Amino acid sequence: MDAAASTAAATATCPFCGLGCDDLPIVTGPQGPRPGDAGCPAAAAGLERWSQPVACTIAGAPAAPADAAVAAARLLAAARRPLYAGLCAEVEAVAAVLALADRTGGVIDHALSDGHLRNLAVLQDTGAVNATLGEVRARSDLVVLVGPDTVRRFPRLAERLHAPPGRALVCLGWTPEPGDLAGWTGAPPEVVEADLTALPDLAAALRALVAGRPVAGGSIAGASRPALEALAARLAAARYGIIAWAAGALPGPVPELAVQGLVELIRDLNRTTRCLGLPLGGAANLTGAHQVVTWQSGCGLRSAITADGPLLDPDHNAWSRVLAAGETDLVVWTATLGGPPVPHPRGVPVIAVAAPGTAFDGTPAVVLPAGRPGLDHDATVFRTDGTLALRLRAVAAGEGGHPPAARVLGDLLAALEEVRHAH
Amino acid sequence: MRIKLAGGRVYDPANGFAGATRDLFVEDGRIVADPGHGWRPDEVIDVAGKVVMAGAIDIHSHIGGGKVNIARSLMTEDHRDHRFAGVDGLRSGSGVATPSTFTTGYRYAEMGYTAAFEPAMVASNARHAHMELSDTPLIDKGAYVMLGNDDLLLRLLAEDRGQQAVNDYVAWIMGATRAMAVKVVNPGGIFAFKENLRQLGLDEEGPYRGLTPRTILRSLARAVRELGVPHPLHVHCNDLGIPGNIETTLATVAAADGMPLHLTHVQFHSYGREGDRRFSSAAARLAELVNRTPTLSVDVGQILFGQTVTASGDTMSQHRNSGLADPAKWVCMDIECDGGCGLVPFRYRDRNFVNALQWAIGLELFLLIEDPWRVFLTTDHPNGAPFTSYPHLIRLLMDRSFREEKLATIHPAAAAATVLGSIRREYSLCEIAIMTRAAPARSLGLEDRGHLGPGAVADIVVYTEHADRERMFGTPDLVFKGGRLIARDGQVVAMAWGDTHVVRPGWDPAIERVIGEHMAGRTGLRAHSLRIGNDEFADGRGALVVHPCRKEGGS
Repeated sequence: MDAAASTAAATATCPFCGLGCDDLPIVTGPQGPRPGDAGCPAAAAGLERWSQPVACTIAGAPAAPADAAVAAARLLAAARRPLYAGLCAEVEAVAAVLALADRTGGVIDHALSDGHLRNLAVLQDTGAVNATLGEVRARSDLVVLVGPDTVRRFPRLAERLHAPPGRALVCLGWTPEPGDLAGWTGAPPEVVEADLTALPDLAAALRALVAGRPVAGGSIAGASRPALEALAARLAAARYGIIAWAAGALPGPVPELAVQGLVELIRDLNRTTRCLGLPLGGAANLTGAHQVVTWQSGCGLRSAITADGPLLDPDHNAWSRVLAAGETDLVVWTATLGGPPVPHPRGVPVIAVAAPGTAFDGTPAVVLPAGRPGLDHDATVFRTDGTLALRLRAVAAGEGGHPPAARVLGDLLAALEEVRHAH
Repeated sequence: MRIKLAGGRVYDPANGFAGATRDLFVEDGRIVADPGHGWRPDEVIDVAGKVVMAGAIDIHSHIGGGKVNIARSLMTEDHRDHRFAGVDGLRSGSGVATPSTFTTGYRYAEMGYTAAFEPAMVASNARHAHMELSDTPLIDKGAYVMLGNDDLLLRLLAEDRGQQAVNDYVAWIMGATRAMAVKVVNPGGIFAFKENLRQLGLDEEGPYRGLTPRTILRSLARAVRELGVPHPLHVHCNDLGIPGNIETTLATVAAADGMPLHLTHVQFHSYGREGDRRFSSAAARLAELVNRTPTLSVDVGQILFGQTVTASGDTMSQHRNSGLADPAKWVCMDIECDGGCGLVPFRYRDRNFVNALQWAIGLELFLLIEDPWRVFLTTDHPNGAPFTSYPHLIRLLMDRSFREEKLATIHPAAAAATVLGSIRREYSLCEIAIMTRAAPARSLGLEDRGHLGPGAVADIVVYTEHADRERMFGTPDLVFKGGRLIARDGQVVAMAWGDTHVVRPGWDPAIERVIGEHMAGRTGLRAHSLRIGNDEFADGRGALVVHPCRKEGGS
């Protein structure tokens, strides 16, 4: 029997927040079958956004796609240092952006990469001990949620954790509000009050306590010493503890230090027991963009493709910094899964490869419409933990949606070669 | 397109040629028998006096998938110091220990390799692994799916559901993940590490209802044989890197009870604990066992001195060795009730006793195992060294005086502890052609690769014979992939895409309910989310080649 023969599923996979829930119901409405939201605000917002139209334009005026591709290609041919950003799109689209960037040079970044780069900076300096979502669900006996964005940006996390006997939740530095832990059926979580802006100090104190060293003072980083002692004891006693954080939302002057502290705490705990990190992120296929840029260039997001090959420079190549410093003369922004509005930098033209529902800060020089992954065409996205690459099967294929972004970008590359050839 | 390669000295051991002067005829990408007069070639290439072999095949090289990509992220220095521009239609890239995907394909092709197999695909990461392999040009590829630490197999065994259920499960996983073979890594040990055990011997009761590694190993070896998967169970033994682990390795072979096995990177599993330093070579003992066990094959996992990164599914071993990380950073990951991965950067030093003896142990294995059909040339890329060091390794095997020169430079206590200096053997060109071409093709069931007989895919390498074998094998004159010239003088000159090789045994669909319910309960993921469709290979980059299973019990 062929594995592919029965891949047709009665459910859809959600590409929006990064949890990659594969149980969205497919509902039939006036527009035909569509993924339903399974009661998740992130899925509902993403699907709603997709119902807004997008038009092919040159300087705001309606244009034929072939003309728009040529107009965009001329801009690319004239650009000296393009910025390839957005990348809020399926893996195939990001790969097509890279093929283009390899021909023009330029900087590569994802619109939401701040948090990812914090985790990566620590990985590249220290390392990591992490678990995937399925491992957390199956094995953990203690889950520490650091900060409210672990569930507010990932609305079904608590539900996905479910609550077998013996699993305890700790909310570190925040108090859940109604709805935050929807779907959690276990014992009410324990709240450990703390000042998350001082997370590096908090992690350092926990490391000291886990190592059996005393910690002075009645409170550390807004947490009472007895509460921290109790948390350290729980982590050390847990069979399979999990510490989850959303690095994109960590407050404080140097969020990398918070991640560093948590990673070092986790590493220390593994001397005697198991404890693993669950870094949460990956909205708009951030994780998939990281993966494909890394395997194709060896360097990753915030690299520049130079005449000598790709070069990673995360501080220099942050898209917002590049824009603010005026270090680009053309923005190529790709978005099929939402993300922030397409920027409108003064004096710098923008080519937008955009699916329905993409928001704009101004009128781009060229808008090339692209299809919605998992609705108009098949596509692949990664789950936040980087392990699961999930296939989005087109629910509304053949309904006249826009072509996949990968094809739009491939056509743009072909148009660029023609423009160059003509000169 | 018709090509005649005229007058080469052909080393094609699968067809009995050991340097005989012969013409080769290529038509539409395949080798054809001498078509006689009237066949007009489009091109005649004079290769008189040159050494001609089939394209080489790497049976064990970590080139794509989750752990490799984490290693790329981790090894920032490797990627900063080795950058490659995208010129002449090639794509840019970076890295030597963990090259980016396009670069991986180029480097292999430049050395005359036309196939490489990723040996550690985690089922839940399979789609990712295949996407990376799909972005690896010029070479054929395939992947071995890792089983033996996944919760469901352990459950089937502990609940005594019977061998048939295990076979169905293995077949389903192979089909869903598009695997070429099955690998077991530290049987039961990765699972045990999740349960906080730090070592698990072959007959120790593991944390899953007392299940022993021996039971897991035997059941998987039997499943692979009964399903007729051409490549035997690919085994990364328990106790990797631990002095004295030779006992575990020998016991693993015995546990197979005559079932075929392939033991991988045996250099890391051939350690004794003799001598003042309690670390010694047990290569002779393993070689002796290999020599008298025709159902056993091995690859070596040679280490070579320099910077690399170790990338393994064996989290238990990687965590144990994390203190040796150089640079001092490392990653471990527990994966989806399925497996794990660990990345530990390593710098092997010739003046370090342990590293130097590891180097010697690997070479002892190569030289003491008599049958080149059952020992394959690997560095367990990147774990022992990057695959780009193969030409250097070939010279060590073919050139005794070069080997002894190197032996004189390593840590003196290690040099004194190895029998390497007394081994006179030098590999012949024919033996190199066996161990890097004919034998891996035969082991994997690749009937039209690894040889130059009629019907074979025209993956052909032409070398100028040179006394410096490193130079000879590092820069072949010509490399053809499917009859297309892709590299000249060690430089890629044209683009092509290799095929993806898979084996797809059948299964009883009843197992799907068991798998679906297990996954839904355990990880919360739907089983269909793991399944890779045929359409996902329809990217115009090579074909998906399904190899037949052998008849049950065949060899």
